[in-house]
Amino acid sequence: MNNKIKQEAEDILANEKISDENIETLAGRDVEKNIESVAQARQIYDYLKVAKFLFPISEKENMKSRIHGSVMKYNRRRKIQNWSSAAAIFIFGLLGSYGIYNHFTDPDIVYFAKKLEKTYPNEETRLFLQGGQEVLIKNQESTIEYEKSGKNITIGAEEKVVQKLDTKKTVYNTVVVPYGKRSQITLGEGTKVWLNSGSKLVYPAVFASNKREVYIEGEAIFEVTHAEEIPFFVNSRDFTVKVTGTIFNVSAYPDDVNSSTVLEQGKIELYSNEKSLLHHEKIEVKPGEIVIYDPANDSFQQWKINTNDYMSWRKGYYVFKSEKLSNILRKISRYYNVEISTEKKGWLDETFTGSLDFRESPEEVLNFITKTLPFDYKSVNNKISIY
Amino acid sequence: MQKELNRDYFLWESFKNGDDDAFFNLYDQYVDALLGFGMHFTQDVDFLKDCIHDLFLDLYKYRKRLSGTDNVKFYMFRSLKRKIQNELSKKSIFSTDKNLEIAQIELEPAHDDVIIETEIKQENSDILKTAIRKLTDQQQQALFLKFEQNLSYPEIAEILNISTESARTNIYRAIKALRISIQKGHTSFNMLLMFYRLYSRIYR
Repeated sequence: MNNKIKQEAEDILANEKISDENIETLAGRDVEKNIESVAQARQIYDYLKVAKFLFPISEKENMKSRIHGSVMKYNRRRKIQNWSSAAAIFIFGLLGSYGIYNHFTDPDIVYFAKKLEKTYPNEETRLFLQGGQEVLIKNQESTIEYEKSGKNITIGAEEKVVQKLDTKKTVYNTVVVPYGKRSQITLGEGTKVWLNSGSKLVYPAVFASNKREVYIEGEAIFEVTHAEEIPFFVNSRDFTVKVTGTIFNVSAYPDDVNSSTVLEQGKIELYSNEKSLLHHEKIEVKPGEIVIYDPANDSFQQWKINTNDYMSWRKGYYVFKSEKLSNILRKISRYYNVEISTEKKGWLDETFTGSLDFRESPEEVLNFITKTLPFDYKSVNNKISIY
Repeated sequence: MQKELNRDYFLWESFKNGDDDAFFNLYDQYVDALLGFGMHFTQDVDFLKDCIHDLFLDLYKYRKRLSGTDNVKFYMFRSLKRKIQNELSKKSIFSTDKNLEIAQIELEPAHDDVIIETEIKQENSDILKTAIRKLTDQQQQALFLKFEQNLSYPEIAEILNISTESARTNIYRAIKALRISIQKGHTSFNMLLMFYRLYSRIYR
């Protein structure tokens, strides 16, 4: 090796303007003569260029929601300070309480949930734990049970999973249930959640000492352990439900226009997520009532129903009273993870009354409906078309 | 490159003017670089995360008083380094753990796919990895700032608290050490392969 060539690799790499494209040209006109040093420079360059530390996305998102939380806390504190220096007492009295500071900001859990990847491959139920740890659950109907500390989790009858938890930081866990499957989760403080097909539940591995907070997308029945001083909040797309201890259903699918909740026992309060300074839609719900949110008018509509009709899915059957066929088909499609298409749209607005046993096949469910709505259908490879 | 700088400039300006989305955009854009940078100064990941958290919170709190900058990355690196050093000096009063200060970094190639993508053979990267470990901390930091992060010599100098000349010398010596290591490590067969690759690159 002659001396001149030896110097070239360093000269090329130390150049201020080096970039991926110009390594070859920086070697000067006589590339062939310098070919060895160019090759060396290229190798070293390629190696140094590659990022050496890649952190899991979930960790970065955790950090981000922590920063988000701190920023919100700072904003709140600053508002309090500003106000106290300017006739704050009056304003305090006027606006009521501390709640106003929370008024315009999403809770951290909602922020975290919204940042989650929207789509997952939809063949297995997935449980996401601390640090991006992921557990796949194959069963069609699964159970997930947390013990008190939030660290030890039992899946099904036997499988045990452990996650590390830092006492200082809130760690969020997520269950994603695909179409065709269901899951039942027992949280550390005893609350039970039945998740219907095509749903996602986000919750802290351990609840804070002053409030319990989860996020739901899709449909779930909550049986909340009673604790008067530690309210339980269920956040969803359109509204937040505040409870202390009760059984109720929340339906908030992204592809449904209306979200709704049905209360079986106890008392719940609903808050619309649509907020302006003077108006914040809020409603109290009594047992045996359904509340449907109307996004167009930011208002709730409420009436009496038979709660069992809305809670029975966790036992494997649905009860419908004058329900539109289009809505029933959507439920069948989610429950069995089958595609349903309709050639004659006329049937979709027809209504059906009766109970359907979803423990049977989708074809048997459809057969039952055709006793009162005489449409025809064919079923090929998990695809059903109605005509 | 120019485009990238401009984008950052606007992001920075709108953040300063009170845009919270811009603030979190800055986070998304720089968190990887900051984590990579920080790992050169401490190996305690949780501690590093705390520092980055504090850095962003400070940026947020003092946003109105921040100066304009057309090189956000440089600005953030400098601030993070100060933060880490301040915290470390606080820490060292209470703990005798000197390991934190003399952070011996280990350059692990991050991901197999990335390596395949850049067509670096395992053998070469092993050789380079060993060679890099033998460099001084300052040389390693300078290499990271120049190659992974594309900073200029004056910027590297300021972050590392050295003169531009020593930044240049540090990098030159570091590269030389790396070059010698791969020259020693190579069999002639590997060299042939390299020539072949290079020819096809130039005369495609």
